[in-house]
Parts: sequence; C-alpha cells; structure tokens
Amino acid sequence: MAFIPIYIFILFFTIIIDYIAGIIIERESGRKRKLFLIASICANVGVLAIFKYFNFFAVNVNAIISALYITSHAVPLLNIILPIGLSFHTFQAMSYTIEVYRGHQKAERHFGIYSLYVMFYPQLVAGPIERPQNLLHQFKEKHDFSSQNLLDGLRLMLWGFLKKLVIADRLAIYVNVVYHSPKDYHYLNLIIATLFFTIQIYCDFSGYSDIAIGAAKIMGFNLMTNFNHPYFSKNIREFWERWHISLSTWFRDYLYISIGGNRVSMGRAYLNIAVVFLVSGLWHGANWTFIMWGAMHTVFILTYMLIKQFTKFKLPNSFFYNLLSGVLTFLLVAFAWIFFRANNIHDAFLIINHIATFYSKVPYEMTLPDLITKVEFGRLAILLSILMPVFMFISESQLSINLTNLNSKPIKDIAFCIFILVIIVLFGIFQNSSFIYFQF
Amino acid sequence: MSPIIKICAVLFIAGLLSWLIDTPLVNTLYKYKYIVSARNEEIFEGKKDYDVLFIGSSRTYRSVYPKIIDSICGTNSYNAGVESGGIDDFKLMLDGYLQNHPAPKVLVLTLDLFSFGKDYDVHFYPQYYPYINNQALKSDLIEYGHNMNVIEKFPFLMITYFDDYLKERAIRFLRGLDTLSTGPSADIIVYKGFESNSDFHIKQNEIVKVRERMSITKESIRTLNEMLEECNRHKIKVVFTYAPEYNHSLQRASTNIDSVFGLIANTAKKNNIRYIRDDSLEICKDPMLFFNNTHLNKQGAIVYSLILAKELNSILLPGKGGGE
Repeated sequence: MAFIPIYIFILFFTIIIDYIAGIIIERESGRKRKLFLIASICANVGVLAIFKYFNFFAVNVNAIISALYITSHAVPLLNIILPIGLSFHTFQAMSYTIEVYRGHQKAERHFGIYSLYVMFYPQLVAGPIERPQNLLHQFKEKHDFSSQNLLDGLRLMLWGFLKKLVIADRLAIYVNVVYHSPKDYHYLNLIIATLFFTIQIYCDFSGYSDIAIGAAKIMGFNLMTNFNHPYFSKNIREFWERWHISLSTWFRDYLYISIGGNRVSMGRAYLNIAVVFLVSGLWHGANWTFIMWGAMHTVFILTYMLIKQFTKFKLPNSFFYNLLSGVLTFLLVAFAWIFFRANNIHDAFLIINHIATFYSKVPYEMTLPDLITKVEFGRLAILLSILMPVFMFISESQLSINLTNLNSKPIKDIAFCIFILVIIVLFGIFQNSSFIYFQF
Repeated sequence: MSPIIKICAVLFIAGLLSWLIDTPLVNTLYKYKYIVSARNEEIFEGKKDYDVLFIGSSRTYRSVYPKIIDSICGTNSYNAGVESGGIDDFKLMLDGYLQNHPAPKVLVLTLDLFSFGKDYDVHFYPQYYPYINNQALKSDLIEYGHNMNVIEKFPFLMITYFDDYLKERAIRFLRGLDTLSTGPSADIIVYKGFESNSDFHIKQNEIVKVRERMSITKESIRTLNEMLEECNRHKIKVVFTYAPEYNHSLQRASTNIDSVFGLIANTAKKNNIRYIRDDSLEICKDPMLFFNNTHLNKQGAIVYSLILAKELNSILLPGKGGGE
C-alpha cells in the first residue's frame, strides 16, 4: 500500500470511464445501457483485480500447479504495489454508475464536479464510501464560512485524533509485538492482544472517519455516518448495521440486492448473505485471513438468523440481559478479529489453539518489550490502554455520533475539548504510523 | 457563546495547561537522560579544546575510554558517540562541535555496518532539540526535515517525541519514586562522553538470529564525503575504525558486509585515511569482555581502549616510535 504519483493515472482512468459511462447510460436505453454499466463495472473491478488480487490469485494457482508437479506453467507475479485507498474510491465510483443505471441519480455533466466526487480529499483514501445522491449535489451548492461548522468539524477531528493517536496507536504497540510472534506468548497475552486489537481497529478506523467527516464539515460538507457505536450492539446483525456503515450498506444495496437479497428462497437468501460476507472479507485484503474473517461472520450471522427464525427464544429486555448479549457480541467480534489481524492462517489457528488450551509454557508478563522499535510497553502504557478506552466508551455512550449535542452545553463542551487536547499532546503517540484501513 | 470564542478558549487554556504539565516533564526527561544531556551539552555548548574527538554509535561511547587514551597518547580527548547513531548523527555532532570548539587535531570516526542506511533508524533525535541555539546543529536538523520553528516557539511540545517508558520514568522521578537510574553508579564508568556498560557478560556461543541486508543510501555516502571535506577544510586528520564485536556476530547477521566494508575501505584509500579494523582482535573471542554481541562490557572497554590507544599513538605521535 503506497502513494506513487504515477498511480494517479489509475484514478484518472476510472474517472474518465465512469464519467463517460454515466452520460451514455442515462442517454441510452435497453441493452446498450446495460452494456455500458457492465463496461464501467469491469473497468473498476479490473483495476482492483490487477492491483489488489492478481498476485493472490497467482500465488494460489501456482501452489496448486506446484502440488500437481506442473511447475513449467507457473503464473508470473506482478511487481506492483497496491495504490493507497484503491478499494474505497473504486467502490465510490461504482456506486455512481449503478445509481445512474437505476435512475436514482442524474448523470453528472460537469467533469470537474464528477472528479471531485471521486477524489474529495477527506474521504478519498479510507471513506466513508459516499453515494452520489448524498455528495454530488453538495458540490453545486454555495458553502459560506460558518463558525459553527468550524467548531463542529474541529471538535469531531479532535475526537478522531484522540482515538487514533492516544488509543489506537498505543494499543498497536502491544498488538504488533504479540501478533508478530504469537507462539512466544502466554495465552493471557494473546487474549489481551486480541482485545486490544478489537479496540485498536475501532479507534483507528472510526477515528479516521471522524477526522474525515470533521474536515468535510469545516468546509460545509456533510459526509455520511460510518460508525454508530458498533461495540454497543446487542447482536451480530446490529453490529453490522453500526460498523463501517458506508461499506455494509454498499454491499447491501449493490451486491446483496442485485443477487436477489431475501426475495428468493430461504436457502438462497442465506447463500446470498454468505456471498456478501465472503466478498466483504476479500474486499479487505487479498489474503486467506480476510476470507476466513468474512466466513466467521457468515457463520455468526446465519446462526443468529436461524436461531431467530426457528426458535421462540427471546432474551428479556432488561439491563442484565442487554449487557450479557452485548458482551457476547463483543467477544464474538473480537474472536473474528484474530483472523483479520493474524499474519497468516497458521498464526490465527495457533492463537486460537493457545487461547483454548490455556497455553502457559512461556511466562505471562503484563508489560512487554517492543521488539521492533525497542520501546517498552510499560505500566503507564498499560494504564492508558485501559483508562482511555473506558473514557472513550463512556463518552460515546453519552454523546451523539457527531458530538453536536455538546453545542447546547458550552462549559461542558469547552472542558471536554480542553481535556482531549491536553491528553493528545501529553499522551499521543506521534511516531509515523498509518491508518489500518489505508491498506484497503 | 460564539463558536469562535469557544475555539479560542479551548486553544488558550489547553495550551496553558499543556505548558504547565509538560514543561516539568520535559525538563525531568532531559535530566533523566542526563549522561546523554551532559555529552550533548559539551559538544553543542562547550568551548573546550580537545585534541581527539571520537564519533560513532553506541559502539563508540560504550567502548572508548578517553582517560586511557589520554594517559597513553598524552592527549585531551572526548567521546561523542551517539546511541544508535548513523552517518547523519555523526555529521550533526561534528558540525555542532565545530560551531563553538576549536577544531580537534584528529577525528576518530567509527563506521558501523548500519551507519549508511535509514532502515536502522531507532535513533532518538529529540535529544538534540534543547541545543538548537547551536546554529550548525539547527541547520542540520532542518535539513533532515525536523520542524525546529515549532520546537523553538513551543518547547513543551518536545513531550510529543517521548515514548511512554520515558514519560513513566519522569512521572516516577517527579513523585520521588525513582532515581536517575541511568546516572553514574558503582557499576559503570562515566567520563568525558564515555559511558561503560556494567560487568555483565554474555554466554559463550551466543546465537545470532537475524540476517539482514544493511542499506547504503546515496545520501549517506554524500554525507560522509561532506564530513571529510569539512575535516579537510579544518585540517583535521581523520581515522576510520571498526569497533570490536563478539565473534563477528554483527557481520554474520548481515548479508552484504563486503559492500559496506568495500565502501569504507575505498573512501579511506581515496582520502588517504587510516582504517583500523578491530573486529579480529583476540579480545573479540572472549565472551567475558562483551556485554552483548556488539558491545563491550566495562572490562572489555578498558582492555580495548588500551589497544586502541596504542594503535592511535602511532598515528598521533609518529615521531615517538610508533610510525604508520
């Protein structure tokens, strides 16, 4: 994953294809429309296939070939690097042509405005993956400077920076050390690292979304909500309604519905769900670990749906049962993250095995030396890794998604922002570290 | 309340609080790392006249004991080794030193296998920030991409460069729960930039695990040549050295030692510089003298300094019997 200037032409290529396709799809009717939609989708998926999936495909084909002893026919690997944010902007571009095809969106005639739709900088590299209906019209409206937008945007950005710099990047130190060589760690270290990663990925990705939404807000643009407190979900279905909303609704609108959704037989509908989750796993990365992660969620959600459909079992709506189901959902999600974070499938199963068997041949140590940067993860780091997520979750449970309910309480608003800013300066991790989702 | 007033209030109060909280922490952190601070103070703010200046990585400041060098060579030397330092640090130390001090007669530059790349960059640049009154140091840091304007205007923001471990030590120190544990103690020797390891020694047949390629960047070669030109301008005699390592362990962990040694040897030949490689000395086979694979322990440093002093004596005082 990298930004290479020449790769900007990939972006221009898809922009030009989709811009022309959009106009033709709107103008034409019948088969020709469909043909241009397919051409546009092929161009976008083709770029993804070459840059993101070709080598994965080649490696696996070569493994099969090698197993069959036909080594002379190995597929050559491409020496290319995944362009930064490729999966995000191609999906955003595809949503445009599909919406034009469905008649929900007029084709954009202004090439500059269409280009801006694909390249709008706050969300270019890691979303939210916008829909044309929400964003395109905003580029045509006049946006005067608004001090309220400035405050709302800055506050949200500050919150995003807290999640990224104070929580995610600190937890990453611990997670990276343990997941780098999981066989060398006690099962408790593996559990802690997995729980830390569960919080890290939320803070990293939702932190980026907050920064992106906040930056757009300052300029007067409203981006869609991407996270709605997903770890407060009481079941796995609810989790997917709250996690990476712009992607899950993308898959729902453009893949799940396109292959029949739930308007088919029950078995086929379940198969459709499985397809969506497996493709979602593959979207995250060309690696079996991501596919396994998608498969885990398929199992979770189908189990949930089957239980709901075939039994009369229903938890009473009380605080205790809500808490219990919330904790269970959180643990299931955390369990699946093992596959997402592990370096390979072997490591993922090793981690699960060591946790399940209470592996303790190596001693448990709460603090860790960092093998990579030689920075010790000491008591202060442990303390902050516990206190700051607790502060974050409590705050998020009381605040609205975009923190705008603070506007009506000026003193609390000021105190909250001061506290966050001081904490970021004092305890932020300012070493170079990218956002996890930039690689997708 | 107007949003702009809110923003201004947040910035002002948060800035003030950060200044109040972070300043004592930053000051304590520099005291905590006080051996490094003392060395940097001497290099960047001192004005003393030294005959011999040793520059290198931790393999220099852990190994070269100026007291022994001076007693044998009759010189006044200073050890300006930098922890995890690479060629950029070496230039920065030399430039900063020459800003205030008279030029030394001899520069002993210890070049490691990892001196010429950026991959091995675990180095702690903020150690230089308190000394940016030294213009040569400041311009080098700006050249290396550091934003010195922010640090000059808001020194408390130096806290953002410290990791949790150092902050934890500083908090404990401020609470009176910790002492300056890296300061001088009975275990180690601290003298004119030299900071020995303790007497701890490695076991025989210490395993070398990782094999990696040491990078050589064009910029690092250019930086080395700039240093040599500067020495030439100041009429400083340059000596290259390679510090002892246990059983060539660092070399066994590297896949391209010939390119690195070739670069150093060619540069030495081209510039008529003496290149002393001390990686095949008898002491390199004795685990009792090594703190780890690449660093001598206290006893090892004393033994090696005696050997190095004799080697340097022949260069420093060719008329007094040594001869090259």
